[in-house]
Amino acid sequence: MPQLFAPSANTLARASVVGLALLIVGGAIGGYVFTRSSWATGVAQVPTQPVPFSHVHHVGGIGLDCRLCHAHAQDGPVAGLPSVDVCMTCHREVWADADLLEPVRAAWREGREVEWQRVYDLADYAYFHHGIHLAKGVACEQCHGRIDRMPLTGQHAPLTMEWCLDCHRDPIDRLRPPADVWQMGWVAPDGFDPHALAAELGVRAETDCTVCHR
Amino acid sequence: MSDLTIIDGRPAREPWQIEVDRRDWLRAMAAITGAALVPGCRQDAPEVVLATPDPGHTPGVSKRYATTLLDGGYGCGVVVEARGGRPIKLEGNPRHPASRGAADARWQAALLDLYDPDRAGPPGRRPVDWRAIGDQLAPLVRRRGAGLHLLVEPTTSPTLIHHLDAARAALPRMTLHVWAPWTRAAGHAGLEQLYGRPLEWHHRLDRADVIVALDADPLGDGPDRVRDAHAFGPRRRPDALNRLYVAESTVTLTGAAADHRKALRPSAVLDLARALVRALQNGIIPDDPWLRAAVADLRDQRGLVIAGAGQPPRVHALAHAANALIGAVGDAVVYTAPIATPVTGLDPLVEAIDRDEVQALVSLGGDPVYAAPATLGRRYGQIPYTLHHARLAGHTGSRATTFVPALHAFEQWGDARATDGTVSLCQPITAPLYDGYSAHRVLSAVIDEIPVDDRVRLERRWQPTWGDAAGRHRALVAGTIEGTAAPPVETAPDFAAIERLALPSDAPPELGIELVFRPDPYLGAGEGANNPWLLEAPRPHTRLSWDNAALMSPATAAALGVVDGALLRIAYGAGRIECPAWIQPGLPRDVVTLPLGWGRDAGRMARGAGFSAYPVRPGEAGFAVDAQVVAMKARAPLACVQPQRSMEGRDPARWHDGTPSDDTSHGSSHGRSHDGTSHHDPARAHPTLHLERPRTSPAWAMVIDLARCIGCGACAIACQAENNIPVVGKREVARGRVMHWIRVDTYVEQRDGRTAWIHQPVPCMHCEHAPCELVCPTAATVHDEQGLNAMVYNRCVGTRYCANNCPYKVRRFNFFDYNGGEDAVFALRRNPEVTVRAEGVMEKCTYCVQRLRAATIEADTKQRPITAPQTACQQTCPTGAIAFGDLTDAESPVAAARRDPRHYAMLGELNTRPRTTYLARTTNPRSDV
Repeated sequence: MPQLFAPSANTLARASVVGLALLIVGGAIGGYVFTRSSWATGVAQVPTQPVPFSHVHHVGGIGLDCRLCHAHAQDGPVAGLPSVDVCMTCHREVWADADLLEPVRAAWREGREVEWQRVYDLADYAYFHHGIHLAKGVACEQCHGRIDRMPLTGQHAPLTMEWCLDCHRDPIDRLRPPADVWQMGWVAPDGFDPHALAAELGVRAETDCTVCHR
Repeated sequence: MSDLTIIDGRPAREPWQIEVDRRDWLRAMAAITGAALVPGCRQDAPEVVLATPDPGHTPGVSKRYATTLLDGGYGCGVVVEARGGRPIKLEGNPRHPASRGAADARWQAALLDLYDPDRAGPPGRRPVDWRAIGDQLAPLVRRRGAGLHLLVEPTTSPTLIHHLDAARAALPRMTLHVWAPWTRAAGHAGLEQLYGRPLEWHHRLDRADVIVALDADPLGDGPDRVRDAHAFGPRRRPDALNRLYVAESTVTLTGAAADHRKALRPSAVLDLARALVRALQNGIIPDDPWLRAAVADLRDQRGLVIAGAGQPPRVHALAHAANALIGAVGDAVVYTAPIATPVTGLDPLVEAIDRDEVQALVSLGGDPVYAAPATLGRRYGQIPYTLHHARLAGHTGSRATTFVPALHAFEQWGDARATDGTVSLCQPITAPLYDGYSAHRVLSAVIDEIPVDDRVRLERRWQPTWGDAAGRHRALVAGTIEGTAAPPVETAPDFAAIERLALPSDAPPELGIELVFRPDPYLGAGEGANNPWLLEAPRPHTRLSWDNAALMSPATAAALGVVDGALLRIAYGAGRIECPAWIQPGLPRDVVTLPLGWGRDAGRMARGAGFSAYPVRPGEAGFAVDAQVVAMKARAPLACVQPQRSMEGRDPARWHDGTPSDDTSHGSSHGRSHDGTSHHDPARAHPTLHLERPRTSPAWAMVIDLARCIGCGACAIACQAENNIPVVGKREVARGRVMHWIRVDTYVEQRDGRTAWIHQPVPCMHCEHAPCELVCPTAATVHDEQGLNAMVYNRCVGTRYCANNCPYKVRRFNFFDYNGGEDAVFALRRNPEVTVRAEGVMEKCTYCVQRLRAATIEADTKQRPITAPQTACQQTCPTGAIAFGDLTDAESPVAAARRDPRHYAMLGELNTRPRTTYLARTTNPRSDV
């Protein structure tokens, strides 16, 4: 009876056993890394907006309050974007002729809204409520980062469930007095006791599925 | 230990502990399989305009507007919830007398009619050419309306009546006809026979200790059905029990709720009414035990006698005479000045057509060709010019020379009156979704006047009543105009006339088979014919979906030799139909009930659903005597969601006979919890595989009172609207794949020799020891702290183990991508607060978790204790049968209900410790019958 397998088959068999193991391990590691990569989560990605709006200028420079434009963050589920009227409140006078602002003026003239591109796109099956987070002392900065240092606005947080749960499991260290949630670069004053604040605000860990998924 | 324990009670993981938990494992596995697929995912940034131009508008938050639906021309006040300008849900208007905050299945489903894609008509439908219409009608207008006939449905709208009067003044020779296939006209005629003048009536069921219904269905028929059910429900509490006598020719919601029910031929109701009045007037004691008991109770207690819309005027006259004799007038029944346009019937129109006098027929609303096929339908084509105005073309619109699409109630200004005269307003919640016009616009075209904006017309009419702008605002916010309820009319009947009315007849009793015609509980007389929610909703009692059938008792079926689904050929007069049979216990012998409203060619949904019974209906009669019914060999497949109508000696739904029922007979020591907390006594509990979880506040629970439940099915449709539940179609229903999160089980049993019905709404039980959770391989169904058995759609891989292990069979599986297959326009009505489920995912009742979360957020934001929200089913329930709330709050209605001696848990012996429990059904029969 002739040999069915050439001598090289031994090597091939060993190599494929090892190779399969490597593939599985590599795939797991690769997948793990990939799902957390900014490419998958969108962190630091900056969508192209119709107007290159600068938070550095408006927030860091002029010092506008978040609520001037995102009026419903405080009490509603959705923060909202400003209507073109809000932009034109100032820009009728300031930089009224700037070419950069032509899309805003055009929208205003035509009774349209500026078609801003969404930066934070939470998964559709997760239900988020801005108001409750602010009421419980979770600052804008927690999720949106130092917006006052972003010339163009990009996504600060990965918006993965892991990231949400990190805070939902243990919110204590991320709290501040609700009056200060709008502040950028807030530093806890001396003697600040997050536990006392948590007790006062009734903050609790919320890890039930139904908190975010319905 | 980290600081976390203070809040969460769970030790945090130390960094050096290597521990692979379930989530990490799944993550790794998902990463492996996902790695190959990822290039397909993400990265198109969604372009979203999130502007907030309206300063009063908070994005992501609903607004609510009061408006009015029309039901038989009468107003039904509703509150519409709109998100971003799209109506997504409606509830009853608490300030409206016909609703009191409740709504039934038909009102709930009116939302879907708004979006109905068939309103757009066939492709290529041309816009309405008003000039052409004017040209057609101009010669008739010049002759002051001679040859011009106007057919309208009964209406109570003061502005529309005013406009009709103006039209008649402008065209004095025009003829106005008022007709609809199912109206309150017999009642109006009966009152006129008795009192010699037209009157309107409404009931106050809560004031009657004894109610006698003569082939009447106050809880399921007519514009006041929700009002009556709302008044009836609280009177089924054991401490305030009324007694309901029903003599009827078919099985209705009211009949199934009766304490004493008598099935009789429809033609025999007149004699029964005569005997009732004679007994009340002369003190004669009747032979019939049902009647004897009814008369005795009516004499002793505050009573009310009601006649059915399908009975001739004389029965109504007798019923109102009985009310006068027992002193119910002004108490349980109130008469007011008439508010609706009097029904003239179709006969004058048909005669005029036969005399060739009709040059043009303009019909506003309804579908007369469909509903009167033998009279108007046959002659419709002979009329030189026809114009039909309705939301859906149907039989009439597709045959008319000109069809003018109508607006939905949520797209127009208008008004209507409730039966007690209260004026309520229609206001547009949304801009018209489809090309459409109001009835006023058509009337203006007919009489060749310059059209006035409907809003201006409305404001001109009501400005004197509501006064200044503040009054107008108040009326629009409330939905009703204050102080417009009609004052009661004082009446005195002629007692000698009553005596003549009640004289026994010597006509021989009818023989042969009698046909009973009733509006379908959901489709009405055809109004809901193209509404998929209403088509799919299983009918009360028959539990049929997507079909109607000729209903008959087992004895009649045996005599005819038919089984369920057997095709019949029914002939009456010149009319002939073929239809399937369905056996319905509780019908009298030799009576066949034909539900109306089906077989209307109203659109794509209606096509192929059911059969029209109008061809064998004589005129507007509620019944026909001596019909021919022949069984054929063939059978039609019918989709029934509950073929099993007997409990087979078990007791999922229980009657209460006055003694606290004892659960130990079920081998369960904990199943009956009188105090709502004894579940926690471990000494009493059965051994279990589940973790004992402490009950923290709030612990949501629901108690459903079977004594109040009339089985109308409003809860199921409200739930469908609230929770984006898809429609699956007849084939899938027949396979047992109906998706409703609440099923209303109906059992028919023989109790003390009587046929008795019991209805049991079954949502998810939210078991504290949920069998479904144990078997889920992906932990897609888990408990939350508020006691909900949550369903995490994203984790579900569709093994369906949970549904297998659920003893209550309340879990529903998406066998197909039902939502994805839905017409895109229907998607506009979806509730944005609820996930739209995809194919291959299990779903079930969530206790309206979106409402619970909203309430939790509200309470947490303001740092107040949570107030229990209403679930969708609870909010709509006309009889208030559903209590929902926090079990740990001893004051809550749900905790109180759990202390009731009637309280029990379905299948409590399984130790599932359901959070949804029941109160056993009480009845109040006379002991001597």
